[in-house]
Amino acid sequence: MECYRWGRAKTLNRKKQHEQTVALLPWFVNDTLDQKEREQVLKHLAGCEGCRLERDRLIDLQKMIREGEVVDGDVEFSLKRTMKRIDEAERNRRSVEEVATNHRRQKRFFVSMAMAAGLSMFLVGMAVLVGNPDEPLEYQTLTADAPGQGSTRQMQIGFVDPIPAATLRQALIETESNIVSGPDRQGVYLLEVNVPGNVSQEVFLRRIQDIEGVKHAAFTP
Amino acid sequence: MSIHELTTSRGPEDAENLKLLQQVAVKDRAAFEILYRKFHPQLTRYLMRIIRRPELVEEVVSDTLFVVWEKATQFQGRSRVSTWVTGIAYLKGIKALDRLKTMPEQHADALNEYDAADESDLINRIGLQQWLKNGLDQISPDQRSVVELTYFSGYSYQEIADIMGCPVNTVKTRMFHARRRLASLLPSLEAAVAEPGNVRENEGGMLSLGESENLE
Repeated sequence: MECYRWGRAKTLNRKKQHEQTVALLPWFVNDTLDQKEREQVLKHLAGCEGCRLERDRLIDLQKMIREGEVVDGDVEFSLKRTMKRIDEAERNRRSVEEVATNHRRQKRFFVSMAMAAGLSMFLVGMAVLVGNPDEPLEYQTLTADAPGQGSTRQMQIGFVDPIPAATLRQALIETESNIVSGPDRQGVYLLEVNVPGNVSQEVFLRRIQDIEGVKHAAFTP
Repeated sequence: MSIHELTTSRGPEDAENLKLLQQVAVKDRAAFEILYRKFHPQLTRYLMRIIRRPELVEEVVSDTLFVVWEKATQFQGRSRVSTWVTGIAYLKGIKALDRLKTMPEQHADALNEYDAADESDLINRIGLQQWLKNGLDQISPDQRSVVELTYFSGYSYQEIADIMGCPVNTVKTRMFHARRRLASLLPSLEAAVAEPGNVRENEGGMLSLGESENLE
């Protein structure tokens, strides 16, 4: 029984080896097997007539394939065509980049315009605030500053969109205010503003806060 | 790792190809022209084997080498440069075939005659190479690719798996089916090569492949 099992195992092993060799033969023929596989194939070939025949057939097939069907492509024509294609692709790429650059420029332009518009509203608001003759007079104490004289206060002001410093400066000159410092990391400016004498500081501050584009405004203590 | 940091120990030819590809990666047109002239013949031949349509082959070769120009920086050195380039050609070739949605059958008539005709007469009539060509027409593009890459280009099965983007066992299976098909179409290959016109009986070597059907 043991002998039978051993014999069967040996047969199965030989069959497996045969199948592996058959599968590897094309690469044995083209000489790309690694050393171990090559030795395994050689060992099997020594005892297998069928595989030796198959090897010889594959060698012939390889010879036929290598010798046959010479394909003459026109390299120069092909190269010229491909170079033209490369030129075209690069031109396209450049034009896409130009479009993208123009788009970025346009975007910057529109953002600047939007900021300028916002600033203009701020400017108009400040101007209205300074020169509004219809503002009702508020109760004044005897010790308060004389009407029309006004007072200077420092104010922190931040905007929804960043405003170019030069434009802001221009706006402030026209409203007789100054930039003390800023913008800081949060984009907040410290301004020195002239609060007109006929308007209370609270009203003045509220009006500043109500101007479109102003994120927050507060007098510094 | 950038392509410019790559080195190769896969022989002088691969070293030369890698150097050219590194130059192509920085858009060196002269290097690209050298690389183009070098790869054009082998790609033309390989694609001719897969696609079998001369009018398409030129276009696919150009597509392949255009991709090499565009994507040279993406080469990572995991294989030989030629393996990488051939892999691109394979994908382009298969895509071209997909577009066609047909299997090339231009030599089907001659093969139909083959069934009834005397083998030696056929070889004499259409010539050995034409006979082989007809045989290759009867196997799938993937099988032709494996046959061509093995016997003509001399790639290992691992490299073919890289080129075709499939497992090694699939390569072996495709080769197995190609061999079986070719064996049925070219039963007297050995005799025909030795002495055209004097065809011997099939001695069973190729037919013994039937034992290895389940390779995967």
